[in-house]
Amino acid sequence: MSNATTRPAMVRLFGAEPKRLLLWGAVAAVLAFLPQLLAGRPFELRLLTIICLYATMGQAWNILGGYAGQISIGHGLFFGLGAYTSTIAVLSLDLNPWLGGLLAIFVTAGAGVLIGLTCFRLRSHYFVIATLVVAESAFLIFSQWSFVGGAIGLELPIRPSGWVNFEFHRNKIPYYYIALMMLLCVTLFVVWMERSKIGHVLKAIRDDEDAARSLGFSPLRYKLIAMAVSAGVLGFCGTFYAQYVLLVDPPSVLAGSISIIIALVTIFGGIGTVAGPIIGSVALISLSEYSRIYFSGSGRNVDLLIYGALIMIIAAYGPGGIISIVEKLRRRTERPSIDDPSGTPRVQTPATKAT
Amino acid sequence: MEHLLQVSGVSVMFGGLTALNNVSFSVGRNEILGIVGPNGAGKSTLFGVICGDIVAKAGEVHLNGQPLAGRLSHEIARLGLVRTFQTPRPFASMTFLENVTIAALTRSNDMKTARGRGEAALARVGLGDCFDRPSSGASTGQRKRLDIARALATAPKVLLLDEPLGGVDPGSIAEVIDLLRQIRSDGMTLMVIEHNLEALTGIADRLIAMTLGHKIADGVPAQVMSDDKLVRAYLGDDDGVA
Repeated sequence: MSNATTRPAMVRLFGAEPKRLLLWGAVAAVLAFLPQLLAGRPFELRLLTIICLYATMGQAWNILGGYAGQISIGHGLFFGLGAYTSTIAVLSLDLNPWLGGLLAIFVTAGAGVLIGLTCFRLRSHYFVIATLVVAESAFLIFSQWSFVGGAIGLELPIRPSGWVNFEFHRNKIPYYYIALMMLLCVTLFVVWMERSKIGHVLKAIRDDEDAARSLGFSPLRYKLIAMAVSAGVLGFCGTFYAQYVLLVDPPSVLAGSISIIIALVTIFGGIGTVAGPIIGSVALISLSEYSRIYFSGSGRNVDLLIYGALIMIIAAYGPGGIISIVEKLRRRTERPSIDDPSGTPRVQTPATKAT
Repeated sequence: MEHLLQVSGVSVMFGGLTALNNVSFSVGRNEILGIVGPNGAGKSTLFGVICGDIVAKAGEVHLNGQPLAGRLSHEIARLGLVRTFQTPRPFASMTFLENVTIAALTRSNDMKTARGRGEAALARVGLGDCFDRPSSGASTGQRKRLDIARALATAPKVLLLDEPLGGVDPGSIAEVIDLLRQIRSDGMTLMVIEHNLEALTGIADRLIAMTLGHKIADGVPAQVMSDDKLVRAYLGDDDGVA
């Protein structure tokens, strides 16, 4: 029997060693019990929920921006579209919010494909500008469109708390668990994707679209798949947010700043990596929320100033995000051992790094 | 000889410039066809038309009797017509093996199988010791070989090589020529653009000479190389294009 078939399924799927799986198991356990430790601290609970939400959205953005190399700064559109889709489904069709979320996934994935069919004709900064224009146009349309409540927006009905209604009024812990599950599912998908054919082809398209095409891959097809998956995840995130705040209006779900933050958490943490969006979300969302608390009133927008400063630092010292800085520091600290007569550093260089 | 690739009356205009003018020729199965001519002759444009990267204003290209008009370049590559580039274009964030494994994924959805094919293709072009090296650090000669390995991993029927010897160190030229011979002996058909005429005449069954978008000679290497029109195309004279 081959070695591959004797290994546990999780190890085969994710290529991880038992030690690493154990570590991830411990992290999962801590995350699962964290709300119990934070009982009676609603701010921290909300912070964790929002971190998970933005990390999920960052992972979704990363599929298109990090792996396929198509930088979108209009991804907030899918978040807003998902929020509006499920809300309208609940209000107009009396649909269960979970089914509304499912509908939101399909609607936003479809919208992603339609937008991709036109925008993917453009490359590099032209594509970036196009995504911005589409998202800003959607904001203006939704602000004026009476069917979706215009600038006032739509309010979701207050229903009894419970998993079936996707509403939790007094105890907000279930929202955290839902956000954590969303993050876990999307992260596992990205880990699988990285090792799969589609992940490799997306990276090839990111590196050189024409070379990938010359080998027989259709860049448009793969970019549309990436866009559909990415948009679908953001659509469900929009539903989650709508059920969390029970209000949907253009500034809260379609604002340009949402698109920027979705892209920023990934770029800040490490674009094109699995851990990047999670690290970026923990750092940036915590910073944003705490600075909002401590510098409120006259200090409004201080968080944006701090954002700006951090982005400049990252751009100057680690364009690959926090992950690349940590990696750089790790290599620097791993000096050649004095008992190694060759003086060869023990750090794994790119030349010897296994694929 | 059975014709695998047929190019008939192909013309390409870039604005007011005629890049290809009514070019016709055919390539036999398992043949090595060399294409020679000075810079600007239209050789790479010809590759672009055959591969579907450039749309011809007139003319047709047939592969195995099948018209390629209207097909997208990746569809043509799937039919078995694969090219390399004059300036090699490795996937810079990847290792040598990842570069070639991706190419093998055009023929197999299984990563393990593709990786095996990738390893075989790299070993075949003499890069068996570079599997895990980042392609971004490769020399020009290594990049050229990597480009060939990547194309081979797609299991093509016709391989279009754009200056495969360009940038290859003189000591390795014989190895690359041997490699091209081996590829042909495996049943593949090759079209080779090359400025190293001595090397090309040594391996090509037939040569096509081009200048300023025109085909000026077509025949066995000795005949084409002694053609006055080719000599004039390279060295120039007052008579202009034939």
